[in-house]
Amino acid sequence: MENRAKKELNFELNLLPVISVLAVCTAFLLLTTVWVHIGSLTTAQAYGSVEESNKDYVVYVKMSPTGTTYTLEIKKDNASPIWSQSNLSQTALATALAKAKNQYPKLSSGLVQPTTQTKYLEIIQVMDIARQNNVKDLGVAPL
Amino acid sequence: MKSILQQSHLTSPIAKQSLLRPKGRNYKKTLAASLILTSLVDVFSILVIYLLVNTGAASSITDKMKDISQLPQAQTSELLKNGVLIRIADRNVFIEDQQMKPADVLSTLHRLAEQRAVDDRFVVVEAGKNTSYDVLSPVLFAATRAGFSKVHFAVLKGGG
Repeated sequence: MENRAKKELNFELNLLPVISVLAVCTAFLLLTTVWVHIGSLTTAQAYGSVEESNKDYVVYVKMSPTGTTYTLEIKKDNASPIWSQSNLSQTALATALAKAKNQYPKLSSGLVQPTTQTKYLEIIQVMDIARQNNVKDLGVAPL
Repeated sequence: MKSILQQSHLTSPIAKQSLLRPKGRNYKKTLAASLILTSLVDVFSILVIYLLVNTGAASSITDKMKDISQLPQAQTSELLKNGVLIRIADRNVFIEDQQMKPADVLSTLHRLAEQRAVDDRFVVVEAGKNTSYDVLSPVLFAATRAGFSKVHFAVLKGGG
């Protein structure tokens, strides 16, 4: 009788089913998770946006047909360029744009001017360089 | 009669297995230490939460894209929103997965623009790295004319 009265009050939770469920969840999520993250670069065509608005300073990046050199121009109120540099490589373009941004801190709009032969990759690279220098209101000129 | 707390302390697996001062009346030295599963459950829980958060970030437009590996990379990209997907592959234009003749692009985009609220009017362009601008430009021009004020170029995050 006394033995029956000594009922074990302390109990242990069986964690094995919990671990099994979590292991299945982990495997399922590992298989279904998207590891490649896709983002976007927002732009507007020049038509109706940057070109027509009277922004203070606008940077123009002209791309050469070969896609190897760039011309950088900064215009104020759509007048003649107040800053111009040509035959720039991609690295030189980034440096020149950083300098221009230092000189004209209000510079926030840009227009990329590709040619028929320009590759999509090159347009994205130029836009990326501009965005890295806080020129975020970007447009792409139509042909 | 000992309290439950005292009992559990005396019979806890750590106290039982202690080499210095093993506790518990029914102490038996065993070669195999009892496995503490609580920490394992913690690790799994953290993993599941991390993966759940990551899975939620994928948007439905990503599922519609066909050849993600051909997208160019950009360091400064924004979150990809759901818009009208325009895919350009081998000089062919697909709008919402339907191949378009060049003459039909503008009318289709017009129709799609009318179905959307003004704030939601934007297109997502999925094009390969080597797509030339002479293919891209007419599509962008048509999108702008149809009333899509913004164009989102799909890119892979990261790189340089």
